[in-house]
Amino acid sequence: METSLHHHHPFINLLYYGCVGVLLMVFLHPIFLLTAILLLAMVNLLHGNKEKLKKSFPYFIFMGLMVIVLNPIFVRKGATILFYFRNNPVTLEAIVYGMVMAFMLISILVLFLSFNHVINSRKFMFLFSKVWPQLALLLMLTIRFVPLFIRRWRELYEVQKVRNHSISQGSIRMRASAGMLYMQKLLTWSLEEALQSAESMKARGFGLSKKRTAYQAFQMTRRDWGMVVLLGVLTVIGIVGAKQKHGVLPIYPQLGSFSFSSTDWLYYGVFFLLVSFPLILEGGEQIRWHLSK
Amino acid sequence: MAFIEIENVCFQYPDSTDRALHDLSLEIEEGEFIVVAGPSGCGKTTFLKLLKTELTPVGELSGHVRYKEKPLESFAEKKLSQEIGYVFQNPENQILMEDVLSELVFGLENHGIDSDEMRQRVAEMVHFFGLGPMLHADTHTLSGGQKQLVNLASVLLLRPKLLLLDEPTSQLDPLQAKELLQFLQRLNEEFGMTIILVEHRLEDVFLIADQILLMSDGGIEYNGEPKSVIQQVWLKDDDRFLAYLPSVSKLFYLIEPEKIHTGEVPVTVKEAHKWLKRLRGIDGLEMAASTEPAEKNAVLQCKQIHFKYSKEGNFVLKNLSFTAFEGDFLAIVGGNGSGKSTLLKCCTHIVKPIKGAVYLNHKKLKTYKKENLAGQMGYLPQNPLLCFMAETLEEELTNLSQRLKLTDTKQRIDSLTTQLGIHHILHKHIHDCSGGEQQKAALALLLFTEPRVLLIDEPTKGMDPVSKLQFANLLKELHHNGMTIIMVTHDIEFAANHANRCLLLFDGMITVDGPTEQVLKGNYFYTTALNRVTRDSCVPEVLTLEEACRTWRVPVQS
Repeated sequence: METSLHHHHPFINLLYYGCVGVLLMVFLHPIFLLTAILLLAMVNLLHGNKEKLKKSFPYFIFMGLMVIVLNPIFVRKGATILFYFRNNPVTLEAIVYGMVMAFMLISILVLFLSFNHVINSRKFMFLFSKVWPQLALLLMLTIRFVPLFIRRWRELYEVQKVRNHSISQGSIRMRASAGMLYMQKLLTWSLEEALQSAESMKARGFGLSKKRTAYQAFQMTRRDWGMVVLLGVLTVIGIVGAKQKHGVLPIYPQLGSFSFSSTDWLYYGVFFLLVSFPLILEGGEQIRWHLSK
Repeated sequence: MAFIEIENVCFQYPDSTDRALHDLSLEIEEGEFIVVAGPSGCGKTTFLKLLKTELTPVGELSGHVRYKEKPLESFAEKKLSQEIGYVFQNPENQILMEDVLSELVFGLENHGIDSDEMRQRVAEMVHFFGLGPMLHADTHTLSGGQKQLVNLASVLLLRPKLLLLDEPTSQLDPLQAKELLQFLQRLNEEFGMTIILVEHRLEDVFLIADQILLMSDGGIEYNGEPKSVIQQVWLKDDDRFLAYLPSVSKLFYLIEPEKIHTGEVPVTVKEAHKWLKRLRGIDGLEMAASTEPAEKNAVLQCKQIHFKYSKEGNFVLKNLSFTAFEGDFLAIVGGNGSGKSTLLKCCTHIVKPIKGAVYLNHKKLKTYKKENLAGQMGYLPQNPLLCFMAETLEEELTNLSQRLKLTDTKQRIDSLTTQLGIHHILHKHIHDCSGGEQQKAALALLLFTEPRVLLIDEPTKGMDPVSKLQFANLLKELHHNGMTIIMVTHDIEFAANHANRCLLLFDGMITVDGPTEQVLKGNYFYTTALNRVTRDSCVPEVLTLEEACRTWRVPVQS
């Protein structure tokens, strides 16, 4: 589903993911990070990304658990020793640090799920073709080539299946040689077709001008600029706060208190506002829709 | 002064002994619509590429090509690239980008046009072509016809003065082809664009062309206005080009041979209607209904099959049943995306139906072993090259014979290739063979295992009329010898001429099933041009020229 965030300028999209990414890395506090995971999961649900989220979440949890388990084994810092593991001290601090790292990892992965959904290849090209147009073009061609290759593989496989030339029968050696034959055929075929693509590029003047321009399908409006300022200000406030150790759980050398001071609450509010930006946009859109009717 | 002048142009490819073009001379005025036709390998594409300097192949070129009275080389590359547009044959390969919009602006970006102007041009062009709804779609989700429209639009965005098109419709179904041709006609009439179109299906372009060129062996054989070209070809009884003429024109000459010198000849259904109104006194012979053997043996049966590609998707085939009897030549016709190819895939066990089953010789398809199935049925896909894993036909046949443990390989290869008339290409690299030869070579692969059923997917796609006729004769001979053939096709004329039974696939079901004549004569739109002419007229209704010759009794005129 296309949400309000999708319809905004790609630069806003990128900025949002960048800012959230940065704040996730500076606010190393379990409550901040857990909030972020929940909010970002909600953003994903809003995109209609439920299936993907459901599929990948077990892997995310597994990776998180690995970090929680491995960190105390390798890190011996910390004042509170819980027990000894093979003569090595396992500290409470290391475990909590592992947990914070795991939360950060998971939140960033969930953020990426949303990123993939919102920034499609077109927006990606748009963002990067200004920086390096040739590379952007090359990427675009490659991105298209992969699914093309897979489609051709399937077509070839189907026809050869009827001709009793399968790669799923016989000894491993036979299968391997049949597979190589498939690959060879596929490459010959693709190369031949690619020659025609090259002609088509040439026919439309590729490489004639030194400077390639880019069609701009997106334009920044004043509202967009306002959002850039908003996102920027929130992020800067967050970074400054985190520098002064607000919203960061003191872990080493000794675990501090989880409880928030009033300034912590302020930064929590800033963080909450930034992460839930797509939700606020969507809510705003809904309200406007209902009011306008 | 002519827009383009071509004077005594000869062209020879580096490694060949023959000239690809010899002594070509031609003048083209601004705003003309030129159609070029001829058998494959006659130099049409080479001719077209000489006019597009970026694509001109390496080789020895003599003579002069002048554009706007100056030699082509004297123009700046960039200017020529914009002023001369080129659309290729294969809609798939010339698309480079992932979505339609990026594809459209590809040329503009290359030429460094600034963003505001791009936006203006794109807005206009998208509107003209009605591409709005698919502007942000992925290019691979478009149909062939839509792809070709996008290609055309992308070239037109550069505002060319001359548009070159190399068989742009050969991969499209008749409807899409017509749509594309109509766009070309509009471009020519409304904007005065000069167009050179290489095309096989002349029936549709005779009306819109100002000049027709028929080429053979690198030279121009006929050149002139459409009607005079038709007349000349008929007068000379030129075998090479007779197949290109519209069937209504041929009918006209057959019925009224004395009118050949008057120069009038109908080429469209409308003109033919007018002509037939004047015609009196033709009546049909009563044909004895062909006696069909009462009990025929069913070879391939589909019983209530359902199929869809994904869990969420719609059913492509639903509750579809049909039976192919021994010795049938079955044509399955239907629109684009109606599931014709999918049906063939179900019949060959490439995909398995979700419900229902396919029976071969009264046994369920899934009970067959893979190697037995390959011996029972042959499947010819749209792209015949997919059948080849080896580089030459001989190698492929030998491998096949080893795989299926057949004996007397050498003998069988010899007799089969001689029968198909492709003995000379046994050792040639398969990619170097012409389209018709590739098709026949693939057919040889299928026939090698002596199957009982042949399943053929769109055999006539991209073939010139003469190769089409040759291929049809081959199929007919096979059919005559008792082979059961199931063919999926868009080509109604081809089905009408050769198939004995016709099925219409619509909405995932077989809606009509019967003898070809009955099925097609009942259609209003999905039928041959000749049928549209003769229906509701004062002459007996016919489907093909051959039928008219056979059943009409023309009074001898005094």
